[in-house]
Amino acid sequence: MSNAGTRILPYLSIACISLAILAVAVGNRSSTSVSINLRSLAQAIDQEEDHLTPEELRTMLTSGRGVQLVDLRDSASFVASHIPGATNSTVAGVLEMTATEGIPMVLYSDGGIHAAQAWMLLKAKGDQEVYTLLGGWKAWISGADTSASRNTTAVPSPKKAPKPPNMSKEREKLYGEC
Amino acid sequence: MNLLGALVVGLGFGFFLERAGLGDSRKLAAQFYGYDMTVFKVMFTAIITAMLGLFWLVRFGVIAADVLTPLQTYALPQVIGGIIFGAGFIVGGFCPGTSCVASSLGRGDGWCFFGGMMIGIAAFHAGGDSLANFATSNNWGALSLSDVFGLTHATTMLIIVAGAIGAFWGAEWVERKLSA
Repeated sequence: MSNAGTRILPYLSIACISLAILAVAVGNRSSTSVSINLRSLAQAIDQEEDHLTPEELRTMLTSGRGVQLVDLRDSASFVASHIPGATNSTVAGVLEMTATEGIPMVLYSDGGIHAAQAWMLLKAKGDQEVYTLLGGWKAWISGADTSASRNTTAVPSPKKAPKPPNMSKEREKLYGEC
Repeated sequence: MNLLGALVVGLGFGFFLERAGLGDSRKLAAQFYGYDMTVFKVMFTAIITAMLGLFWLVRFGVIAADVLTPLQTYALPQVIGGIIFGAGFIVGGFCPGTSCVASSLGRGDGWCFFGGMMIGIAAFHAGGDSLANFATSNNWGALSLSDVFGLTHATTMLIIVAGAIGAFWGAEWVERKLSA
């Protein structure tokens, strides 16, 4: 190393160690406090990349591709019936989960609101392949699913919400149930 | 814009590799014999600079954490790839980046290595799905040292920076001993 390099080395070392110690002192805010790219999240929602329809989920489940299903309903509802393979979690519990690349994580709640909130949290954490189930549990059981138990209540009438343009028939039907 | 950014970063990467003397295969090979620890020092300098830089840029909101995509750990393919990479490095005297630097400097050995690398890339793609599937098999997820050891990113960073600086001084000492 040149003389100039040797002279500057102690100062650079001290600067690096100081920055690292300061980092420990100010703490790590990656787990519960993050900055997010709002535009990319908004685009994912606009382009309907944030959710799967029940039909798409069924296809995914029967294709043999791994899916991490997370049921965000209360534990009593989960025990009564759930999509096979799902694990029960609270929205806060979802923060401890990490989606694995290649294995999509699909979140569902009764109607979809909690799932959408959890989706936002996971995307903010940096998880890539996370989806919500469009219409939630209600949409799932209203379909032709045969693997979930049938001792569940009927689907309530959907709330009307303004629909985005260019929506498919199935998405249009389910949109009001979110 | 991404491509323009990649060009600027790539030019900077090549420039600093050249300035560190890493366009010379003899200097690179000397690393493996302990006579010249430049590669080791350049790599550790890059690692701690990037680590500290990313932490503070995210902390100050210059970089959004969600645009950073941690790489997956494909354990077995990466072990095998590492062995092939290391063997190629010591036999050819270059790694991919430094072979580009040497080629751009007009060095014949750099061009030979670069050509071999292109043939290797073509052979990999000619291998079809089986090789591509193997390359992404044995996925342990986006592991980080923080996850493995249950530490915060900042604590992990402090340990690595302290270790790197210690190793840097150690490398200087080894160089002095071997060249004395």
